[in-house]
Amino acid sequence: MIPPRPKSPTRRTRRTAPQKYLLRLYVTGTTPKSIRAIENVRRICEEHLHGRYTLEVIDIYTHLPLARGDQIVAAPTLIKRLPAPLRQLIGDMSDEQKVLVGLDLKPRRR
Amino acid sequence: MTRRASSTVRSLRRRLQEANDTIAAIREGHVDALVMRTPEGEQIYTLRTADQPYRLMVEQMREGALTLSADGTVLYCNPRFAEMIGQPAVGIVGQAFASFVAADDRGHIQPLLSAEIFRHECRLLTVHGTSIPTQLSGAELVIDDARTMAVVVSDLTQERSERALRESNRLKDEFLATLSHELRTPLNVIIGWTHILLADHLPPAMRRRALELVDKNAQAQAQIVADLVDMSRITTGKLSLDLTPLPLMPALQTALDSIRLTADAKGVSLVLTPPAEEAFVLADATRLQQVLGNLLSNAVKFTDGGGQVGISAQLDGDHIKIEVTDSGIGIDPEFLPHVFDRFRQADSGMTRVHGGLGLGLAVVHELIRLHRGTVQARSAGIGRGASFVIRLPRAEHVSPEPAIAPLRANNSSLDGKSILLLEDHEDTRELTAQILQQVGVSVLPCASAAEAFALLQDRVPSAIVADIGLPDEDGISFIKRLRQHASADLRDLPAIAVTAYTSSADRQQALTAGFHRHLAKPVDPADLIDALCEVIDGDGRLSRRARRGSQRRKNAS
Repeated sequence: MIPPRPKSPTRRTRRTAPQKYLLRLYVTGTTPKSIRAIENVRRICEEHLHGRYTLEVIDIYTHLPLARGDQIVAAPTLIKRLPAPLRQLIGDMSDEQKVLVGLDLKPRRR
Repeated sequence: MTRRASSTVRSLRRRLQEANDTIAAIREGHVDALVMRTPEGEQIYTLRTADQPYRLMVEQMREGALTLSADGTVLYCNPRFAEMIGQPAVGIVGQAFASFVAADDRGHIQPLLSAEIFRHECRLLTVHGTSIPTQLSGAELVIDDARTMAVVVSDLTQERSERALRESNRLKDEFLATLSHELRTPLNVIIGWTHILLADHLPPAMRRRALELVDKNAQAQAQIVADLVDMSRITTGKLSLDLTPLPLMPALQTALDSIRLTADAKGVSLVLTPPAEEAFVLADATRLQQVLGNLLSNAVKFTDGGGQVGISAQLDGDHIKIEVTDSGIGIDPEFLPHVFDRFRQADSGMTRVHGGLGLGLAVVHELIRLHRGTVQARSAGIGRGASFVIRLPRAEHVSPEPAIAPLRANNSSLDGKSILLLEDHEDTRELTAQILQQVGVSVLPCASAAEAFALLQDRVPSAIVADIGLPDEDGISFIKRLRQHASADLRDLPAIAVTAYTSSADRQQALTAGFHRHLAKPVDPADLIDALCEVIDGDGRLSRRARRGSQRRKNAS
């Protein structure tokens, strides 16, 4: 669950009109970590962003220009394109806490 | 710090964290591939074990997969390809791919190897000496300047058999359409003229003509049904032959005589070239006539007036070669391989000029095969005539078996006889009664076995004519009961079965149950009278000769 942060103005707007998430997951076809990454991201999104996210799974073999545009250095890589700011996470996304923090769904621990 | 500066610091810190996370993820092996920027553009480097799924996919797929070097050597093959060929991969890798291709197709392989992409159907040889139809799909693979070819091999065996099945279904549909047409055409003539005859406005001369047309078309329909029944018997293996040594010349002469009327009417001349010496052929007399009749009527059918149809025979070692030739429309070379196929005709569909079911030659082919002979079709092409060559085993000369003299008692021997007629179909009963009354027989008609037994209590007829398919108690059961009857007069009554159950098994069943003759519907009135004459003695008892004959003589069916 998202801890309430009543002071933030963005929080208020999100509560009235939930922000749409646009995610892009770069994978290398059906390699083991890519498969795990796809499964993990889908599960996390369904749990925390149900109905308000679009996930594009992109094979870097067939979409190298897109990967170049997003400055991808490794796969699997998850990019949060919207809402700003742009975030990127690398790995098979098996650490759910890390993914939630990366997607700004959970505050970073100090 | 201003609010804005603190936000920039947060953002920078965040990006630094991301960079650290990236390095950590790569170091800890959480990624499968790296994207490197090189002077030639981005390159993807796959890390250890990352290609496992692709490997498994290729290893487990249902198609064969190969990589070939530029000169066509097999560098890799998957288990499915090894299975197709029938030997382990170690025996395949390192060999020339062409050595697994059927000899006829081998020449096409080398040019494919230099293509960027190709698709090609060819036959592969298995270690068992068989060959399988396949489709090859190839694509060039360039890895580090080394050029190889990736090939996927699909087994087309199943697809081929499905295609053949579809084709045979299509032919059956076409055949049913043709059958329906061929049955309706004479039916139309029969119904049409019958209505006109019933209206009774025709002058006597026209009446005769109308009846002739009805008769001709009914015969045509009977022939269609006979062909169908033969084909079905042959395909279900229910046709058995009665092979005897037959003198060749009379057989050819009889066949030629049977077609003479049609040929004369059309203006086609018939030529018989006899063998150098008389010989005997080992064949079933009825079936040999059917084969020759089919070939000759086909020849006449496809030859225009002024043309010629010939039949010739030659001795050929321990075989006899019979050739039927014509100067007719010939056979399209493309159709030639299919002339003996069932249901297949060169001109099908609405535009066909020639009638027929497309069964005649198929029946010929099967009958000759049952005789352990061969038949071949030849034609120099459209408009250049055709010839059919039959080879049949030659028989040793034997002194002909003394034929059973047919007891052709004249019809008057039936005069005054009474015959019990057991038939449930009213119209057939009326027809048969009429046929019998015309030769002076008094008919005792009944529609069921029970009715027949009731009648037999009062009167003992000279003979019984019975149907087999009857309500309540069938003809087989009826005759069995009759043969066990307390009265000797009834037990020994001559009996003829007239039935639409016409297979040899049906015939055998009827004769075993106690009938002396088995006649197939539609029955020729003359045959019925002949059969009755044969089974009835002058004094109305079953003749010994008829008893013996019923076991030996083959029914006209």
